[in-house]
Amino acid sequence: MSRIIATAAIRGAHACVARAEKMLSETEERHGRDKAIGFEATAYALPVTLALLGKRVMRLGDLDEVLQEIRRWLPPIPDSDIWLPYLGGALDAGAATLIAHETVEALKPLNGHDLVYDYWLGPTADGILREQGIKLVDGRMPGFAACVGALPDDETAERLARDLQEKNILVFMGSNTNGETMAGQLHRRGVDMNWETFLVPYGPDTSSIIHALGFACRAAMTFGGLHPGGLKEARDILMYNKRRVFAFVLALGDVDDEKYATAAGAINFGFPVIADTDIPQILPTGICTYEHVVSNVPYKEMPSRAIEVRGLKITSLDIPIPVRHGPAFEGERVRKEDLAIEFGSKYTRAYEYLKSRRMDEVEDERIRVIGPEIGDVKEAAQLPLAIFVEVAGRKMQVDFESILERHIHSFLSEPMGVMHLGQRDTVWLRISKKARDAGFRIEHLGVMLLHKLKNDFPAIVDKVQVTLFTNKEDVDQLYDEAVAAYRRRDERMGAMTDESVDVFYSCALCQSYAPNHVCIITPQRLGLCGAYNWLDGKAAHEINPHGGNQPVAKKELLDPVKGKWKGINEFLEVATNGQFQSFSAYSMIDDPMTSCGCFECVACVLPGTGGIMVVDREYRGNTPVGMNFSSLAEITGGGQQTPGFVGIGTLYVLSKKFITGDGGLPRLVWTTTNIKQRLGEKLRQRCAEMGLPDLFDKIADETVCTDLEPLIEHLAAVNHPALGMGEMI
Amino acid sequence: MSLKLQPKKWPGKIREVTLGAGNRQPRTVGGGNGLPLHTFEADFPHRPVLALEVTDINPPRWLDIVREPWEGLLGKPADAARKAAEQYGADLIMLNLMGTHPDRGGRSPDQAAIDVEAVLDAVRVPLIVKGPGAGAKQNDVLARVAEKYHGEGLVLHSACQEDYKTLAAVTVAYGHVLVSESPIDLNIAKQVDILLSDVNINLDRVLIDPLTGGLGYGLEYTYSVMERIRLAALGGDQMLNSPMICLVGEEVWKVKEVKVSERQEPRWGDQETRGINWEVATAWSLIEAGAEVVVLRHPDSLARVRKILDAWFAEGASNNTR
Amino acid sequence: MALTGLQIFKLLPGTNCRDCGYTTCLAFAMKLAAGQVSLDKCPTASEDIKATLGAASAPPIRGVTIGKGERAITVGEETVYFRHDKTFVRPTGLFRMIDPNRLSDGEIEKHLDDWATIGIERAGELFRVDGIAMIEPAGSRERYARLAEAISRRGMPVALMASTIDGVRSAVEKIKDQRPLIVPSPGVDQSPFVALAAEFKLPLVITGKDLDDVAATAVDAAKHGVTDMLLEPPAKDARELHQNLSRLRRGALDRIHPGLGYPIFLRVAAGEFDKVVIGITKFASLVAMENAAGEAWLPYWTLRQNIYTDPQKPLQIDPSVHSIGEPDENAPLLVTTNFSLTYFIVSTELDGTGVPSRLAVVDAEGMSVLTAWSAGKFSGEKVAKELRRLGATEHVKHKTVIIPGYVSVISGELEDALGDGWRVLTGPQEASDLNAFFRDVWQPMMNG
Repeated sequence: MSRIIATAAIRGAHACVARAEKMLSETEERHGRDKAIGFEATAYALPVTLALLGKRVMRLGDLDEVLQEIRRWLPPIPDSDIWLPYLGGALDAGAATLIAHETVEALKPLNGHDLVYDYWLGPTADGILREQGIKLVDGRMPGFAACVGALPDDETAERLARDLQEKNILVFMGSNTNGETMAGQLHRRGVDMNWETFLVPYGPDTSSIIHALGFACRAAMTFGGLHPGGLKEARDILMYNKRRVFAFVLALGDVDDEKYATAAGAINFGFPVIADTDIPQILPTGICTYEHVVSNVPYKEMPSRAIEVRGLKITSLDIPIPVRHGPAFEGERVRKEDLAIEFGSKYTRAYEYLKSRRMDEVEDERIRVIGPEIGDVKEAAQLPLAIFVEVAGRKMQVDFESILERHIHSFLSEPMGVMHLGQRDTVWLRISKKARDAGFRIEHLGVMLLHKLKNDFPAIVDKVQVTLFTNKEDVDQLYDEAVAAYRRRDERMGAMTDESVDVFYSCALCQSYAPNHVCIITPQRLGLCGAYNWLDGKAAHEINPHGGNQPVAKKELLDPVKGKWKGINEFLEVATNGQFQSFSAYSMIDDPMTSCGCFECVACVLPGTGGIMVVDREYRGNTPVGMNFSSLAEITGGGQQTPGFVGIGTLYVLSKKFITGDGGLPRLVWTTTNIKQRLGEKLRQRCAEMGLPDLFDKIADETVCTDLEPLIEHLAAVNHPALGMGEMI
Repeated sequence: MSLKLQPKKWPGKIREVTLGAGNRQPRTVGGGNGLPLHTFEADFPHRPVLALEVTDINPPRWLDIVREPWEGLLGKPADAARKAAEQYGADLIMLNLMGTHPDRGGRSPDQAAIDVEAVLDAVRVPLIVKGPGAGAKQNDVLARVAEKYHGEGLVLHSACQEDYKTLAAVTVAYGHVLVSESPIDLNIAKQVDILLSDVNINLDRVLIDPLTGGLGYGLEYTYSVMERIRLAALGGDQMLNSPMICLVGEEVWKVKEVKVSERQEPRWGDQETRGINWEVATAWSLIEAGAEVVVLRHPDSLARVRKILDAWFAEGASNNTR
Repeated sequence: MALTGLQIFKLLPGTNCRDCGYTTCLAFAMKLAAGQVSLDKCPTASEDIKATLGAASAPPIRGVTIGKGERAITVGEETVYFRHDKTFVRPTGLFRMIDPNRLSDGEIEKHLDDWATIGIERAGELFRVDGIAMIEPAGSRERYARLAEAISRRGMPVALMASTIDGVRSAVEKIKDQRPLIVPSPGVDQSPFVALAAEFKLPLVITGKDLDDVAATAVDAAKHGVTDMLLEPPAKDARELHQNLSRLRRGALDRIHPGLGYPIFLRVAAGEFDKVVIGITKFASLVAMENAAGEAWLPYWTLRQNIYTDPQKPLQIDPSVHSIGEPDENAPLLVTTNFSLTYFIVSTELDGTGVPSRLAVVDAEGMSVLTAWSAGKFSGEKVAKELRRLGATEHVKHKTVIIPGYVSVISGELEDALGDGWRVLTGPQEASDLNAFFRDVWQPMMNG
C-alpha cells in the first residue's frame, strides 16, 4: 500500500476514533450509560460493529468497550521519515474507522440530529435488505457503488448516476466534497432517489457511508448464514463480501484523511476504490480481487473501470437486435430469392478473426461497420467481410481465441434471417430481405457477438469490441494477419508436447454412462471421443471451474516410456472411486486408460501379428480379431481397464506419442478404409517422419482381409515392420 | 460348512437432514451407513418417509382415478393436506404450487403464500413446497414463501445448476431445506451440491432430486444414477451424501399405461389397480435405489408402500439384526 | 482376483481353431474374462490351464435352461451386483402358477390357450408369460402328467411344483425332453428329488431353512450328479426376501461357497406384489406367481425391461409413424429418434397436450436426439430419407414437419432434402414445452 495513503488513512482513523470517543462521552453525560441505542427497523443492532466485533450494542454503555477495543487497533501515525510496513496497520485503522463512523451515526439521533431528513434516507431497514440484498447475493443485481463526495457539476452527477442505473448497479451516496453532495446535485436535477430507482442517499457526512457497509454486513449474515462472533467470524463475513457482494467505492473530488481512512475500511471488504482525482494508486492485488485503488479516472469511464476492477459480470437478457433470435433459428437457410445481402462463399472474401487484447486496448461494447452498410448497396449484393472481434478479459488467454472463435458460427446463426456457414476464412453469410426489412443491419452481427460472448463466457470475457469491415481494402489488409493467426494456432497445438506442460486435464463428462471412467487429456493425446483436446479442457475449466474438466498436476514422472506420473495416478484413484490406481498414457497393455462408450475408435492387439488394429465406430464388418465394432466396444467400454483394448480418438494415431510405450505407430497392422481416408496424407507424412515412408501402404484394411490368417500372410508378404518387433503380450 | 457372510462396511454414510422446524413436527431422514434397505448389515437411524401431493388449483390433467380420493378437495390445499396427514397417513405434504405457472393461471407469490399459510395452519407435518418450475417465477414464488414462513423448515423444490443462488440465499436466511435437482446425472448432482456449499449452504439442509423417470419411462436411468450416488456417498464423498427425494406421483400418473382403460386394452387388466401398482412399483424400486423421501399422489399407493416399510422397520428404525 | 482377458489368452493354446465358436483365441479369452462363456467350450485347453483358471473361469452364477425350443428360458449367468457395473443379462423368468386342485382340466386348458398367446409388444420386446408352474394335483399322478404335457404341447416351459416324488416322476417321465424344472415343496425330504433330477439330468430347485442349509444342500445335490439348480431362499416377508436375495447374489459373486453359484427361484402368493418387485430388482431369476392379472403383469414386465436393459445399449423402438389421438391431415407432424426414452417422453407429453398429432420415429440407432445428431444419424438428409421411407410425408396436407429444438441446425438441410415445398419448423428443446409450442407457434401459424 502506498505510504502516503497509509499515513493519511492512519491519521484519519485517529481523528475519527477520537471524535467518536468525544461524542460518546458527551452523550453518556447527557443520557446515562443505560440509554438504549440502535438504528431503526433492524435486528442487527449496529451491524458493522456486530459483524466485526461480534458485539451486539444495545445501550450507550456497550460502546465504551467497543471504542476501547478499536483504539487498540490503531497503529501509531507513521513518521514521514521512517519506513514502516504499513498495509496491515492501515487496514486495521480502516476497520477502526468504520466502527467509529457507526458509533457516530448511532449517536446522532440522541444528540438531536435525525438521520432521515430532506432527501436523506438514513440506514436501511431489514425489510428492504431482505428484498434487495438478496439480489446482490444471487446476482440479479451485479453490485453496488458507494459514491463518496460530489461531482464537479450537477449534470455530471446525473450522468454518472444514470450510467450506473443503466447497468443495474445499486447506487449508495454519502459524504460531501467541500460541502457539496452528489445527492444534492441529483436533487437539483429533479432525479428521484429511493429504493425503487436504486439511488439511495445515506447522508451528507462521511460517517454516513457506513450504512452501505452495514447493508453489506447484514447481507452476509442473512443470506450467507454467517454468525458474528470473534475474529474468524469477522473474517468470514469480510470474505463473503469479497466473493459475493460486488461493491466498489467511487471517490469523488478531493480525498481527505477521513475519506482515506474510510476507503481503507472498505478495502477490508474487498471493495476497491476508484477515484477521479490524482491520488496514489494501489495496484497490486492482495485483499481485493484486482487493484485496490485506481485513480485519475474520468467520470465517463468510472462505471466501466469500476466494473472491471471489481470483476463485476454484467449479462444482458435481451439482446437488442430487431429480429427474433435463439437456437431455434440456427439451421435455417436464406435462399437466393430471399437474399438481401451476402458475403463469402465463392463470391467474395469473408472471414472471422477473434483476437485477445490487453484490457486497455479494447473499448468495451464498441461496434463499428467500416465500409458499406446493408442500405448502401443494391439488393442481393455480394460484399467482402471481415468480422474482427477483439476480446479482453482478466482471465482471457491467447489459447482461448480459437475456442471463442469457433462459437461465432452458432452465435451468428441465431438471429432469424441470418445464415452463417463455415468458419475462419470459409465463411458464407447471408441476410434475408425479411430481416433487413425488420431493421437488421450488418452492425447487428456485432451486437449479437458482443452480447453472446459476454453472456456465455463471463468467466473469461470482460470486454468485447467488434469491427465489421465490408470494403475490399480493409478486408484484404487484415486478411494476412488472420491467416497467420490461424496457422499459428494450429502449429501451437501441433507443437505442444506432454513434456511442455505441468498439468493435464481430466474429463469426467461420460461418468453418467461409465461410472468409473475418466479421460486424461494430454497435449499429445486428445480425449477418446475425439472432441476434446488439451486446450479445450483448459478453457472448459476456466469457464466452469466446478465442471467435468479439472486440471491434474503431473507431479513426479514415474515411467517415461509408458507415460506414468505420480500426480495423475493419485487423481485417478480419487476420480474412479478407488477402482484404479495407475494409468499409462502411452501403453494399451499396461494399465491402459479406461474407456467410456463414446470412443471414436477401438485399438486392439492382434496376437500373431506383433501388431494392433484400429477400428472406427462406423465400420460394420468383421475384423481380424473375430469381433465387429460393437463386440469390441462391449469389451472395451464401460469404464474398465481392459489390457490390450483401448478406446481412442482417431487423431491420436497421428500423435508422436501414439502407443509409444508399446512400440508406436509401426505396430499398426490393420485398420479400416474410413480411418485411412480420414487420416490420409497426414498419416503418410507421419510414417515418413518416422523413416517408414512405405508403412502406410503396408497397413492392411478390410479390402485386404478381415481374418487373422490372411492378415499374417499379407504382413509377411509386404514385410510389415510389426512382424519383426515381437509380440506385444 | 457354513457360509461366511461378511457384512459390508463402508467408510461413509448418508447425511442426516431434518425436514420441518418451528411449528412442524420435525422429521429426520438419512443417516444410514449401508446400501439402501440393507438392514441386515448396516444401521439406519431413520426410515424413508412418504409424502402426498396436494395442489393449489384444481389440477387440469389429473386422471379420475387419482382425483377420486381427493373428491371435493382439489384446489383446496389446506383441506387436502389435512386429509392426507390425518386420514391417509402421509409423513409429510408436498404442496405443488402448479397454479403459479404462467400457463396455469399465473397465481402471484402472495397468493401462493396464502396457500402455504393455510396448509401450515391445517397440519403439523413438514411441508415440501414445489414451485412452478425453473425460472424467474419459481424464484419469486419460493423466495416469498421462504421469507414469510421463516423458521418452518420448509423443503423448497427446487434449485438447479443454472439457477440456485436465490433459493440458496433464502434457504440460508430463513432456515429451510433446499432440494438440489439434476437431470439424472451424478456429476451434475455433485456439482450442484458443490455450488450450494460454495454459497454457504450447510449440506445438512439439502436433499438431492436426481429426477425421477417413472416405470417404463426412464426408471432404469434414475435407478442406476441413484445407486451410484449412494455408492459414492458410502465411499465417503461429502458432496454426494445428501438424502434423495423422488417425485414419483407426477411421473407415474401421466403415462400411457395408467391412462388406458381396461376396455381399450383388456390384457392390461383393471385400470385403477394397474395405476396404483405402477406407482407402488416405481416408488419401491426407487426406495431400493436409495430414495429417502418419496412423493406420491394416490393414497392407496402410500398405504401399500407404508405397509412394507412398517414391517421392515418394525423393530425400530435402527435395525441392525446382525 | 479375476484374470484379465489378456492373461487368460496367454494360457489358451493360441491355435485359433474356432471350435469354441469364436474366430480367435483372443475373442474367446475376452468372453471368458467377462464370465459370459465357460472354459469347457475350448476342446484343446490342457489340464494345466483348467487348473490354473480353475473356478475363476466359470461364470460365478451358472446358466440354467428350462424348456425346449423357441420359448426355452435361460436364467443365471449374472456377473454383477449393480446393473450399472455391466448389465444384468438374463431377465427374470415370470411363471404363472396353476393350481389344478381348484380348476377343472377344461378350465386349465382354456387358461393355457389364453396365456400361451399373450404377447404384448413394448419397446422392441415381446412380453409373454414365460412359463407355467403347475402345482401337483392331489391324488392323481396321471393327471399331473397330462397337465404337464398340456403345457409342453403349447411350447411353454414347465415348472413342476411337486409335493410327492411319485407324482413328479410321472410328469417328468412324460415331458423329460422338455427340460422341466423340478420344484419340491418346501420342507419335504429333498433327496429323492435330487436323485430324480440327476437321473433325468433336469434342473432342480433347492430349498432350505436358511442360506447355510440351501448352500449345503446344493453342494450335496451336485455330488449326487445334479448340475443345473436354482436356489429358493426362505422369504417369509419382504425384508427377509430382500436380505436373502442380496446375500445370495453377493456370496455367489464373491465365490464364498460353491453352493451359491446358481440362479434364484422365488414363489409368491396372490397379492404379494411387493415381493415380485423386490424379486425383479434384486436378483431373482425365476418367479412363480399365484393368480396375478394383467394389472400386475404389465408393471412386472415393464420393471423387468427397465432393470435388465443394458445401461450401455439403450432400448430402441421400431421406426414408424405413431398417431397420438386421432390426427387428421391438418394435424402437426413431429419427428424424433427411436431411442425409447426419447420416444416415451415425447409421446407422453404429446398425449398430454390433447392436440392430435403424428410422431414420426426415425431410425437413429437408438440414440437420443443430440447424440444421434452429433453421430450423423439425425442429419437433414437422413431424416428426410426416413420420413419418406416411413410414409410420414403422405399423411399431412400442410407439408410442415416439426423437429426437436436441439437440432434446429438441421432445419435448412432437411428442408432442402425434403424439397417439394416442405417447411421445417423448429419445436421446443424440451417435450414438456410442446403444449406452449402448439398454442403459441403452431396454432397461430395454421390459422394464418
